[in-house]
Amino acid sequence: MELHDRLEEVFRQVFDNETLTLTDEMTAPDIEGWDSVAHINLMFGIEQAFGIRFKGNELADMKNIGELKHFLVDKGAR
Amino acid sequence: MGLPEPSSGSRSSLPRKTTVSFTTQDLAQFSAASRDRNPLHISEEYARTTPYGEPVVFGMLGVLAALGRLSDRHDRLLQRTSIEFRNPLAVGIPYRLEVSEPTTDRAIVKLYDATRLMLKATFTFMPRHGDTRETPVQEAACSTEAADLKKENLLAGTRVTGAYGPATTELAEVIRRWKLSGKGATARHISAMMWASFVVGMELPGKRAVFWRLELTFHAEDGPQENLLRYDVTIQDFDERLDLLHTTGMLSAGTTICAAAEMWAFVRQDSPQSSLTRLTDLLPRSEQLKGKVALVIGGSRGLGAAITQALASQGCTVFLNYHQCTTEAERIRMSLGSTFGTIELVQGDASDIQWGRTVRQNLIERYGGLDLLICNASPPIRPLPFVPEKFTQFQDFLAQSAAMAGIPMSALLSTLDARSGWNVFISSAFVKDLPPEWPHYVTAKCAIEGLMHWAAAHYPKVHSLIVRPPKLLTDQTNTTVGRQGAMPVEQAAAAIVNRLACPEPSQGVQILDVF
Repeated sequence: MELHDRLEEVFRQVFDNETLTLTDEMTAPDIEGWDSVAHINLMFGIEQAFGIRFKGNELADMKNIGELKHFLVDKGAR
Repeated sequence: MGLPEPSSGSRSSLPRKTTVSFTTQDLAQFSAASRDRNPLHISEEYARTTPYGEPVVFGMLGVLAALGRLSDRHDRLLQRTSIEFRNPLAVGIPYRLEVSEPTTDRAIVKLYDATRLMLKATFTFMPRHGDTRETPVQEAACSTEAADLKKENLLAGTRVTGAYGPATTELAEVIRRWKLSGKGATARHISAMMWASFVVGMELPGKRAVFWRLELTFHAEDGPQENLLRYDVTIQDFDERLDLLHTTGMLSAGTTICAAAEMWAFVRQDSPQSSLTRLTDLLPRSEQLKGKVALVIGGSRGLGAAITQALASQGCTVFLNYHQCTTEAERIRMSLGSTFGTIELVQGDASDIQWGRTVRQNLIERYGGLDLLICNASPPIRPLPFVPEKFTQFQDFLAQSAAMAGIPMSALLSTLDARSGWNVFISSAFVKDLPPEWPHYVTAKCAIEGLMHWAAAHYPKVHSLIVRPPKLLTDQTNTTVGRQGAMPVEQAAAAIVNRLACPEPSQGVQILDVF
């Protein structure tokens, strides 16, 4: 499965939304339910799915989904 | 009701919807059965000092309620359960349960508060052999006080071992209450689930735990086994970024493993407490407020505690009103030491009309009136989806919030007027920021700000101040993410007291939103 699809699956699980479709331009306010609890679930979910580890609150500093995907590629996400 | 179908036959993929709610008695019953006596679930006073504001339902009780709503599975045995505790459950809230049973061997239950997913439990079953026998579970003496392990104690490799056995009578009551018979879970399965709750809530990390995830695998109860269960739990990792503890554990009967668990729990940090030393650094002593009489509604914790200390440090006689947190209120009173003001405790529910009358009478009899009224109290604040089915909660929050400010004001505005005193309302920056999860909170704050304007118009000698602090470091925000960017309460309290000490306050309602 492509990185985009795997990431989308993580988002669907975390936000409990089977129809959620990610685009590179999407930001946190575009996704319903992205609160502090969901943020931690998302961080954990991405780490588990891609075998990477965020430093501190790196995820919160990313400007959109596109940047997150670049980050995952740079980290050599599995 | 059992559904007669083949062992791996498919069931309806459409989720069944139902509701469930929890009472204080349910929590007490689960606590007695599981021996999980974590005060977050059973102590009102303790829960008030946490971000949740009131006792939280045991997550595992939510899971058992979910299990009880599955179709009967007399020919199946629970093999594994995977649980995500997404958000804390509260007493008295009707939660929506959505049960999906795609096959007889798999069931997914989601528990929602309107649109908000609170808990997700996935149950996996295996065929039950005709000769499978259920082994009774023996009671065992377990620790009765939750450990209080801080993050510095949570070192990878640390082990905790002991005997575990739920209380037999209470376990049977829980099984009856939640209709758990015939669901593919034996008494030992349910005991293992309770054990996970016990381990996290009482042992690792104990008191500070907020259970987050559980993977629990059950082993078959074949052959003769000992009845006494023993456990062995090891810390795998403590993630400093998230304050998240990861442990693994085994529950065994003799040499036979009954269940293996992987558990994650957040470890709450110490409750942030206002410091008189930090306050006096920010707020040099002045004579401006010396001898004034102040009443702080909701003064035992957070910003209210810091305002109480700050006013006392300026020589005021401060009446600290609190409702339940006696320990915290006493701590603030004792913190004053030799500072030249005084703090007196006034316990009571500020939203109670009789309490308002009594306080007014006491203040007039003892001090001739009041100079400073600080309305800081709020009901416990939880996110609330803005949907019709949550409107009762929305209304209740508004009514309680309005009473907590409106009753003290209605009782005391005339005395403030007589002494050209201050009427201060602690609002919030949220009235401008409008966060999506807090429609009730924003509405309540805006409504009371409206009352402040009315009061200013009809009691023109009273100086009025609306304070809109940003996110503050309080019990309410004492979570991993909540703490980020939160302002210390002393900084906000110092700014408020500086404004009150202003020798020539302007007329009309003042807004303080820069700290």
